[in-house]
Amino acid sequence: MIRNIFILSKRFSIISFVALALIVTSYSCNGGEATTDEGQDIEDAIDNEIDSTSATIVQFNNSLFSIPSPYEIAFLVKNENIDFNKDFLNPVNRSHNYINNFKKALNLGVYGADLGYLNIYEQTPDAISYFSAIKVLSQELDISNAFDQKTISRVEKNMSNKDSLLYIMSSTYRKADIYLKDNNRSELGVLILTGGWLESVNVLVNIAKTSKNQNIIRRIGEQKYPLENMIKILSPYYNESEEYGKLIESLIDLAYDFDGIDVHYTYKKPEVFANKKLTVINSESQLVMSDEQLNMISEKITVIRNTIIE
Amino acid sequence: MNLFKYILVVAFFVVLTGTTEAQIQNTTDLCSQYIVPPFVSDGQQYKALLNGDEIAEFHATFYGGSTYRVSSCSGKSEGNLIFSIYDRERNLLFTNKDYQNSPYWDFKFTSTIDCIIEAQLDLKTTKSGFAILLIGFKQE
Repeated sequence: MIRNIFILSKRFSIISFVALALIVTSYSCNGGEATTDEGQDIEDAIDNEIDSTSATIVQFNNSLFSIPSPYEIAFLVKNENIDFNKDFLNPVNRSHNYINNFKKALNLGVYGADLGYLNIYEQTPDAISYFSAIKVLSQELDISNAFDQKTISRVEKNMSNKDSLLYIMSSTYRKADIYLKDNNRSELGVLILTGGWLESVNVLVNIAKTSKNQNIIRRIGEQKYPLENMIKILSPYYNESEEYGKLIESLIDLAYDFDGIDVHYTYKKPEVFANKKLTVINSESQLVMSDEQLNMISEKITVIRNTIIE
Repeated sequence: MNLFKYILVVAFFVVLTGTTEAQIQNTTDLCSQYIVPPFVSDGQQYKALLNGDEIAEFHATFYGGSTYRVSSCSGKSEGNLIFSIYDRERNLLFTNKDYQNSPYWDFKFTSTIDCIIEAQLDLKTTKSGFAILLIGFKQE
């Protein structure tokens, strides 16, 4: 009798367990529209990303700091009517030299920035070669989810359509970012970001050396905060390997030079155009950067960039 | 029997994980519909699990002369997430709370500024869930 009760009890607990799973699944499938309290049932069962009993400020996962897209810099360069220069890019034939994941991820970012630059200047034949290199590196890094066959086909079809290609590539890099974060491989995602940022800033540095274009020079100085953000994103991976440590140290060294740049900020009331869902941010910031500071920063950026592509 | 129970426990968590990922994907899709041409994604997704009145925040640099779109979502319907943008001095530049928790908003920056973006759930509709933010910039 006691044994039967025990078995019944066990059966009951298993049935309850299965029932609970089904309820939660069913609830999720329905979208939980009645209360829209979608996370409540599942939060207890998954690894919490936050400690709800402590801080009320939580981090966006591994992305507490945003880095501007390399494509933004490429657009600025084009808008300044600066001629295309292939010498600014990392030669595509070097892609086979990157043996470990550290270099592969960094240069996936580098080639992504280069592809954006080629694309904006409508250099289609070269863009095809760079995309091939990106495809190979992403496969070697096992980012199959982002660079799937459907995406590859879309890119190849739109290779000569500048606007479509930019949209597809930026969405693809976002998918790669999500995939790496969701698979606990954020240490590679941050390297892709770093490579893209360094390559695009290095293009600015190369242009500034010859043209002395003030808008380009100002954009270099404006990298003060993105660089700070970059270091904060990379810092958790300092002990990942010697290579990570060296990269972070070189960026910290660069940040010391950026620290010397004065930024004068003035708050001004924003204007809202609610019918257009648009707010114009009128606040102003002015940079004060000497030629000496620019030279030092430029030199260090080029050294770091050349180290990661070699 | 113990093995059977173990398998059930594993299956339960597999189902839960899959369900959670599906929900996040749905929320991301909801957000992504606003980052379309002429807006180009910055290549990143910002995600946080929020409970109650918790606030997620991150720093972003916006370049002068550019227009950006911030898209924010939580759950399966729009309007569950409040997002606010502050400058480094913590002056409030915008909050979608003033506009029925609009799921997206555009920002034109006249000067390059480093901002803090905060996101929190609207407790009137949602008590917990994943917050997703996407940023796109406009090709000028």
